Amino acid sequence: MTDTAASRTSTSSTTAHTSAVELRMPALGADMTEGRIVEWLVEPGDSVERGEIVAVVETDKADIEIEVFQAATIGRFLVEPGEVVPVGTPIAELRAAAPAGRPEEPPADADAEQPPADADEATQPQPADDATADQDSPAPHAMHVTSPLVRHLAEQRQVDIAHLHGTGPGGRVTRSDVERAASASAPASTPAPAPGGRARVTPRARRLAETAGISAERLAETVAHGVAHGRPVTGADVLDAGADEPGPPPPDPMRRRIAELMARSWPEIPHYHLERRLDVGGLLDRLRTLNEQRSVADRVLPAAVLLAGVAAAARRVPECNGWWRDDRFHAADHVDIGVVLSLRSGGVIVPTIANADELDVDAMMGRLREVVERARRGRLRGSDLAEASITVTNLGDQGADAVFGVIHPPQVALVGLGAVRDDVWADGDSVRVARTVRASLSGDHRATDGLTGSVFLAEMNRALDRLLREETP
Amino acid sequence: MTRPTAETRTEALRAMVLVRRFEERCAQLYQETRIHGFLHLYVGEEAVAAGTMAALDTADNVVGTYREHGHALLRGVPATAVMAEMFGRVDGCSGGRGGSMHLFDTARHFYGGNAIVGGGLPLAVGLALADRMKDRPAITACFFGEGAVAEGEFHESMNLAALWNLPVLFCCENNLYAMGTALDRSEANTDLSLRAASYGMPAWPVDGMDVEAVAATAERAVAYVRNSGGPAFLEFRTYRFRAHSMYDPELYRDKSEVATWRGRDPIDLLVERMVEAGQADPDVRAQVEAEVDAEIDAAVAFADASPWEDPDELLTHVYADVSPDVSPDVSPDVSPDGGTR
Amino acid sequence: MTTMTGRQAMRAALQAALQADERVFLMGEDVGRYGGCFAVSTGLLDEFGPERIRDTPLSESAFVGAGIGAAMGGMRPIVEIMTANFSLLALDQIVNNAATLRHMSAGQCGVPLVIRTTTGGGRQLAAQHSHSFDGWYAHIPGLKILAPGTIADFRWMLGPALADPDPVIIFEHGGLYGAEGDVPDTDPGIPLDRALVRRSGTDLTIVTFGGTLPTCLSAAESLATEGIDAEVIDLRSLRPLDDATIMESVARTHRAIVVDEGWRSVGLSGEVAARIVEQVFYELDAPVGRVASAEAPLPYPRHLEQAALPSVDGVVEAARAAMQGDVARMAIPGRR
Repeated sequence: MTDTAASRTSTSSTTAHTSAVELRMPALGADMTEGRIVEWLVEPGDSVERGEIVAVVETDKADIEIEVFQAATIGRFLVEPGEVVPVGTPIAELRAAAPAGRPEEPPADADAEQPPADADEATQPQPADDATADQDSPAPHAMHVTSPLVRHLAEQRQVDIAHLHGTGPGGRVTRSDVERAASASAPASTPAPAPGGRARVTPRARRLAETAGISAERLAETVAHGVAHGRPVTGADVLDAGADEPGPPPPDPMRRRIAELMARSWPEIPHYHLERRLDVGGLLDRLRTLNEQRSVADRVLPAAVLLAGVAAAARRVPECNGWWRDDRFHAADHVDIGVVLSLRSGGVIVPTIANADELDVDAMMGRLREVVERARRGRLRGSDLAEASITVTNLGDQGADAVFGVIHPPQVALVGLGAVRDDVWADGDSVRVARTVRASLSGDHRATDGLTGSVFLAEMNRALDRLLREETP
Repeated sequence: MTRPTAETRTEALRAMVLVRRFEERCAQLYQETRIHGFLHLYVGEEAVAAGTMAALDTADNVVGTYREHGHALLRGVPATAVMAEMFGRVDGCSGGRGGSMHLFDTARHFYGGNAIVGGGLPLAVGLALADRMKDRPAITACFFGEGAVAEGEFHESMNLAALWNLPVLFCCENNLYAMGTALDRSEANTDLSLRAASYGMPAWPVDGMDVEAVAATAERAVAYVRNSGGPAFLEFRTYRFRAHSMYDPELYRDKSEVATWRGRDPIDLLVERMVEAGQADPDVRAQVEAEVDAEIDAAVAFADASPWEDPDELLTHVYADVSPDVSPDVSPDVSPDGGTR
Repeated sequence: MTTMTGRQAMRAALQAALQADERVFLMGEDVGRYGGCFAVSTGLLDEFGPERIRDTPLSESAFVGAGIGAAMGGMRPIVEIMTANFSLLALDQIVNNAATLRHMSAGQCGVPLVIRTTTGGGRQLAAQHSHSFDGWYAHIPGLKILAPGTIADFRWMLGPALADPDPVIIFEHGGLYGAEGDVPDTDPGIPLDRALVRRSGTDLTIVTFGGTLPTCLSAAESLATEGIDAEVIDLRSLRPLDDATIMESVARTHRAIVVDEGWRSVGLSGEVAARIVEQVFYELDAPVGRVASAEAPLPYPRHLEQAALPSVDGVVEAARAAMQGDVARMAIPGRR
C-alpha cells in the first residue's frame, strides 16, 4: 500500500496544452500496457488540426487510429513504425499552435507530467515515489468541525485529526473515525490466554503429547513463561520435549487390502510361472476388418478379444478355473473372470465378468466397457464384485512386455498379458516380423502343474486363432 | 411552446459545447492514463441531453447510463466534481468511488450512472412510484440506449410504469449501435416508438441532432407526463461520433457512415441557424469553446489537487454508518481470546 | 405470550408495520387479491387498500428495482418475491443496485428496502422450487440477510428490518408458515444481528438457522437421551454473522457442527466453520463438522428429498462423530 501522506498530495497540475510538447503512446483501453506504431499518417513539419488522426497504433486487440488533441505542428518522430513501446512513451515532438484568440502558452515544463510506472494499474495513485510529499499542504476539506469529545479522544489516542477523512455529515471526523485510526496503528496484540484457563495447545501437539505420555498442559506453562510468551504449544514443542517423530500416516484402506491379499498369496500359494508368445497378427487384422464397418461406439478392443480367449481356455482347462479350499481344489461351475483395473487415483480394483465363456466378442466388449465405467465412477455393483474363478491382468496398455502376476487366493490361476509388440518370429526356416503378445500363466502348484498350465496357454492360443473367423470356434 | 430566442440558443450552444469539450478532454486524459477503466463518450449526442435537461425541473429525478457525463453536467453537477470523479479523487461527485460510469448527485436528483444496460429503468419506475405515493409533482427522466430495448428489464419497466400510471419519461437515445451491434441485427422490429406505444403510452420519435427539436418535444413530453401523471416515451435518433468506449476499433461500422452523421453535428447545426438569424457571429463556436476550455482547465486542476480516499475508509458506506455520537448501550462483545469485536 | 403460526405471525407483523408508518407498503405477486401465495397477506388489501398492497405483474426485475427506487425516493417498501427461486430473476437489481448504491455514491444513496421471500425445500416441490440461497446472498456486502427460525422472530424481525437504513432480505422458510410457536405480545427488542442460544448445553455446539432450527432442536433432544448435551445456536442473521455468540459457545463446549439447508460445498456452513477455526481454534477438541444438503438438485419423491436434506438422524450422527473427534467419516446425505 502506498504511504498515506504521500498519496494525499497533489501531483503537479498541468493544463491540457502543456502536454503538447510531446505526443505520447496513448492508453487506448482498460488493460493496454504497450503499443506499436504501424504507420505515421503525417510528416514532420505538417500542421495538424485538433482531432486529426496522425498515426495508426497496433495493440494486441486491434489497430487503432490516434489523434492529436489540439492544433499543432509535427516535430520529429521519436519512435519508428514497428517499434513496441510502453504506454506513455513519447513518440513524437509537437509544437503547439496558438489557437485563434488565445495567447500562446509558454512551453510546458517537460517534467511536468510523469507517466505512472504501471499504466495498467487502474487503482494505483499517482507515483508513490513522488518526492514532493508535501506534509503541510492541507486537503481542501481539512476544515473539520469536530466535537470537543472527539478532539479529546483523538488527543488521548494520539491520532492526528487533520489527516483523517471524516465519515460524519459534511465530512466531520467522528468518534469511530478516531477509534479506527487509533486501532490501525496499535501494535498487534498477542492473544491472551483463554478465560477458562485452558492452555493453548494445537490438536497435533495434543495428539503427539498423548502418544508420548507428556502433559501438554505442563508444556503450555513452560512455553508461556519462555521467550515466546503467549505462543501456543505446537507439535514442534512436544517433539522437542522428547516425543518421538510420528510414523508415516496409515496407508489408505485400498492399499492395505491389496497388501494383505498379496502378502497372503505369496507365502500361501506355491506359484509356478509359464509364458507363451502368441502371434496375434491375424487376430488383430480380423478385428480391424470388423471394426472398420462399425461406428466408434460399437468397436471391439483387443482387450475384449483376449479375454474371450482366456474364457475359452478356462472352459477347456477347468483345472485352472476354480478355488483351493480345505486342502483341495473346487472347480467352478462357471467361468467368472476377474479383470484387474488400474484406478487413476492409484490402486487396483478387480470386478468380475460372469459367465465369460458364454459371451461372444461383442457381449464381452459390452461387459468390459460397463465394468470399467462403473469402476471409474466408483459405482460398482454387488454383482460386479462377485467372486471370480480366474483373474486376468492385462498390463499391455501400460507398456509392460510381460506380466508374471500373483494369484488372488483362493483362485488357482492368474493370466498375465503383455503389450502387443512387433517381434521376430521364426516360421520354419524363414524369419518374419510378427505382432505378438506374451501371455503368462501363474499357477497354484497345489492344484495344477506345469503341464496343465501349458495346455491352458495352448488352448488360449487356439481360441484366439479361431476367433472372429467366419466358422464358429 | 417556448419559441427559441437568442438567449435560449446561446444557452443551448454553451451547454453542448461544454459537453463536447469535456468529453474530448476526457479522451485526452484517458490516453494520458489520468482517467482509467471504462470511458464512454457522448460526442455527437449532446443535443439530447441539452434539450431534455432544459425541460426538467430541479425537483425532477434523472436516471442515466454509463454514458452520462453530459447528463450530469447539464443537470448542474459541477464540472469540478465530475472531473474529480473521473480521476477517482475524494472530491468527486461519488466520492471518487464510482468513476465514469457511476456519477451520483442526489442533491440534484441525479441518481447515477449505471453500468448494466437496462439496469436503471426499474429504479426510475421506483422513484416515480415514490413521487406518486407521496403526492409530489416531480417526474423521473430515465435515459437509456436503444440496446436496452433488448433487455427484459426494459419491457418489465415499461409495462409496470404504464400499468400503474407512473410519471416516468423514458428517454431512449437511439444511436443505432449497442456497442458493436447494429439495431437491425438485434431487433426484429426496429420501430422503437411503435413498440413503446404498444405498452400503452405516447411515444414520439425525435431528430436527436437538432437541439431545438429535442427541446420542443421534451418540453411537450415533460408537460404530458407531469399533467397526466402517466409515462411517455421519447426516441431520440442520434449518433455517437466516437467509438463505444476508448478501446473500440469500430470494425462494425463504415467510416463513411460516421462522416455522414458528422455532417449533422448538432453544434454546427445550431451555429448555422444562429448565424443565419443574425443571432451570432460565425466564430461564435470558437469563442464559446475558449470560455468552456477555461472552465475545463479549472476542473482538471481541481481534480488533480483533490486527494485520494484513505484506504482505511474502504469499509465506510457499505452500510449506513451509525453515528458514533449516539453510543450503543451494549458494551462491545469480547471474544474468548480477549480481543474485542 | 400468544401461540400462533408462522403465517399469522408475519401477517401481524405486516399489519403493525403498515399501521405504524404510512411510508410502508407491500408489493409483490399475488399479495393482494390472492391473499398471498402462502396466505400471509390475506385480508391486508381490504384493510389497507390497493395503493399500499400492490399486486405486481410477473416482473421480478422491475418490481424489485422499483422497490429500490421507491426506497431511494423516501418510501419504506416491503417487496415480496414469491420464492427465493424467483429471486434469481431480480439478481441484477439486488446485487448491482441495492447492494452497491450506497458505496458507489459514497453514501448519497441509501436503500432502506426490505425484501421478504420464501425459501427452502422439503415439500416435494422439486428442484426449481426448493432452493436455499440464503448463503449465496449472505456473500454480498451491502446486503443484510435475516433467517427467522422461530415464530417469535417471524413476528418481531420485520419491524427492526424496516427501520434499518440498508437493504434487508428476510428468508422465510416455507415449512415454518404452518408451524406453531409462542410469540411475545410486545417487541422483545433483540438486536437483529444477534444470534441466540435456543438450547443450552455443555458437550457440543450446533449452529444453525431458519428452517433447520426445529430439526436441530429435535436432534438435541434425541442426543440428550444418549447422554450428549448439545447447545443449539440460532444464527438469525446470516449477514452480519454474530461471531461473539458462536465463539463464546464453542469455547465452552469445544466441539461444533454447522447445519445448513444449502448445499454443502462452498456454502454458509463452510463460512461459519472457517470463522470458528480462525477464532477459537485452540478450544477445539474435534474438527468442525457440517451437515448440509446433498450435492444434487432436490428431487421430487419424498424419500429422495428427505435423503438429500439435513435430517434429525443426520444431525444426531454428525454430533456423535464430533464427540468422537472424527467428523470426516460421518455420513454425508445422499451417500449410504
